[in-house]
Amino acid sequence: MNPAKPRPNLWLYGYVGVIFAFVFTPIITTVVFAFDVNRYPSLPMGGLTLDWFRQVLADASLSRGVRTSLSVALCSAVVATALGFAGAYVDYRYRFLGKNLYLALLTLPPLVPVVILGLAMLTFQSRIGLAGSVQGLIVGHIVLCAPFALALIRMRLASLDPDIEAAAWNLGATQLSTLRSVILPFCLPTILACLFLTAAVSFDEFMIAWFVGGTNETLPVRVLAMLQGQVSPRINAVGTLVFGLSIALVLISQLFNPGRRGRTQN
Amino acid sequence: MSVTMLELDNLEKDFGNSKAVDGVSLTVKKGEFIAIMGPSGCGKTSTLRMIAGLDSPTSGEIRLWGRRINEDPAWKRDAPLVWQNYALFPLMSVRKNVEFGLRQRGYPSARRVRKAEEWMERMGILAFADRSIDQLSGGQRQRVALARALANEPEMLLLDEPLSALDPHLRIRMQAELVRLHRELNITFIYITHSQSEAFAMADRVVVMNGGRIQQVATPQELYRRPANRFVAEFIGGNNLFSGQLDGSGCRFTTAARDILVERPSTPPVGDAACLMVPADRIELDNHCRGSGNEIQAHIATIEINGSTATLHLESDAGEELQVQTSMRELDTGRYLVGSPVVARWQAQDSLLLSA
Repeated sequence: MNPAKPRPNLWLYGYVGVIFAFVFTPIITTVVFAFDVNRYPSLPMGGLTLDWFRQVLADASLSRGVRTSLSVALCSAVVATALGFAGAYVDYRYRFLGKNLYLALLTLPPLVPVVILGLAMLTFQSRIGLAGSVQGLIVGHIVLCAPFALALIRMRLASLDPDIEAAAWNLGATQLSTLRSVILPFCLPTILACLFLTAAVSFDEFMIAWFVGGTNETLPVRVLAMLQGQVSPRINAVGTLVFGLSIALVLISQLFNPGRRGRTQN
Repeated sequence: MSVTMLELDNLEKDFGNSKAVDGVSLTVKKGEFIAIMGPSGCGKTSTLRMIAGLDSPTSGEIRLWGRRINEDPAWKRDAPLVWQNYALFPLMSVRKNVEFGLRQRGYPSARRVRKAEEWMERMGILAFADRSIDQLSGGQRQRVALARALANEPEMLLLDEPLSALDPHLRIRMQAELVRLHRELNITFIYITHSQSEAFAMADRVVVMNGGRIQQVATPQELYRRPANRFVAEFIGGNNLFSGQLDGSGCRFTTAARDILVERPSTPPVGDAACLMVPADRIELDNHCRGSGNEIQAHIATIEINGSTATLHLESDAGEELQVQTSMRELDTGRYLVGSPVVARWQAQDSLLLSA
């Protein structure tokens, strides 16, 4: 509307800057002190070292935690994305009574406070003898992650012409072949994005893992246990590694996700 | 042209408690160009979707070459559809779109490529075979949609308002092209439209639908000269309609404002209330009464120029509205000006009694 370049609003810049500082200062502090020689973080820093990282990598309980976290993240990402796709496809394809209720139920889990979710899962899983197993943990993370996949894939499918499937059938493609040759290729970038995003959600998740994981400690659970025992700069090193991995997963997810780009015609 | 190909037998489609299609029966011959026309919600698209197998009829039968096909799934039918919004596959090139049907039918790849190229060439889109769909204009997408539908060489092509998204110039060009294509391919076209100019320009026979029912099936000319009922006469346009009653003699039609002389109908119209139709092009204008035929004194309210013809909208002294079609040549004489008094005259045999 205004062709002249708008004057920068210093207040707005300042405000945004403060918010970013508020969010990122703790993270930056963690990362910076992970390289500090001093046992107790203090300024000025004593000097740079990679010792804490070495200790972390040498710690068997931590590497076990990483392995558990990664395998849980991988399994839940795959299943949650598959379920999310199925849920979104049903929404795209069918119109039925109670569809809003169906969608509300599907998107509910992340809205439930995780304490309640974790506790409920523990109660339920101990009844069916699943509590304390890696499988139980994976199931818990699937419940939490699937709605994220559903939301992303649903958004992608919303930009697909609702007549597209009928057009494929009309040209001789069976329902299965239509799904394979039209719908899945269209959703593929989003599906990849969902795999990474749900992996990140699972990898970061603490509460459910703490409640139902039992002796299978994921990395976040292990880190908390460490924190309770001692204050060691190793925590900073672990935090830096976890932060790096999570950010990487989310960024990769963003790279794949076309969002509302690549809309179909009309 | 004389072999029956497709029969719709008392087809009905319910959506919840409303009937989208209510007892449609129609016989289509091989190679015919049929237009199904009607206002939105008249059931024309539902009928087409049932022929394509995308909806299943609530009752009634669809027969192809005499065989019931109600239960055949869409992918087993040979009735490709050209969609109103084209419904081309996104993220696929033009070539991939055109090849889609051939691939599904299991053509070996060399033949598939050759056939797709043949059709792209024929539709004039071979030059952008490897472009993606998003890079095409509306007219080009239209051609891709046609090539994709025709690549399997079907015996019947369904078209659902295919020209409605194009601008008027392109629409006229595509009309001519569709007619040429129909003649060359000699396959059956079933064409859905709400535009009578499209239907009349292309179709052998036109089906007029309203409220889920067929109102009339006729050639464009028949439809224009002998509409079956008031709805058709109004939908076609260009007709003056009077509500009233036929008196006992059968030669006089009484409206609120006047008595009109008519020819005695061979079969009296159904129902009490009837409707008299006087085509706009059958009314002549004069500057004074001569006492022959039906004459109405009126003045010119507005003049609408439609190209080489013009429509004069008259308002009679009794408050009736009339439309009279005349040529631009007549208009050029300068006799007809807005507000000038005229006498509209027509002969009894030029009017037609319709059931309301």
